[in-house]
Amino acid sequence: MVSDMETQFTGDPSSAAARRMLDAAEAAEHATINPPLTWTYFVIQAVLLAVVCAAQMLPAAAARGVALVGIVAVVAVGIRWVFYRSGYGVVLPDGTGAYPYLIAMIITVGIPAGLALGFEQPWIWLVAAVCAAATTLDMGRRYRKMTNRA
Amino acid sequence: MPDAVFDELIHAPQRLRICAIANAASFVEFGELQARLGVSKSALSKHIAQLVASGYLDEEHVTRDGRARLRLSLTPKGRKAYRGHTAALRNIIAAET
Repeated sequence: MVSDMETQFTGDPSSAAARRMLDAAEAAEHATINPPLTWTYFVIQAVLLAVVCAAQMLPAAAARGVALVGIVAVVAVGIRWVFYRSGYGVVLPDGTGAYPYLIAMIITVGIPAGLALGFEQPWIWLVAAVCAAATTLDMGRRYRKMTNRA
Repeated sequence: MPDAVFDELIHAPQRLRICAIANAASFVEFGELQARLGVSKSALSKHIAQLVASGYLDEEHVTRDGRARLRLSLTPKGRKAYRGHTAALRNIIAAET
């Protein structure tokens, strides 16, 4: 396949050629750290986070237990599907890509959680659970749109 | 910041993509690289052989799920060369804008 092979490049490329090459390299890196993810992944994560939030209405010991198991499960699913998936070793996390999601979670879940604790109204944890699930699913929609797999 | 050094070996489009993918992970398997790049086995093997010969890529043969796999990872020298090359590309772009 002659078209597959490339001879050694000689000479500096033009600005436009350099831009094309840099874009190709960045796209390849981006596609590696942002793999295609199915809706199943985001639904699992949404359910796990909602369960962790809703479980905070339970007695303290049970709430802590569910939170611990739930968070471990969230991290495990993330590691298996994103950071240590088949065909790759450990993949670098996309810190800047996760930033908006973390901010959204702090706002949409953190505020209801704070109110639930501050006013000692356990039912508000249900609001936090719904917000956690909705935020995660919305992140999934945006992520899949970004990776052209909507 | 890496030193901006234009690397003629890495600059070839497919080799640049191989290095970019390998730079984002601790290793990548041959089959995954082939699927990502959409090239023949022989073409990919030749690119990899050039990068290995230059000390930019490491090869490791492993068995997973009962099948032989070839894992490829950037060496420290390869990582430095890739980052230096992308820095050089940025310099070229910046110089003409």
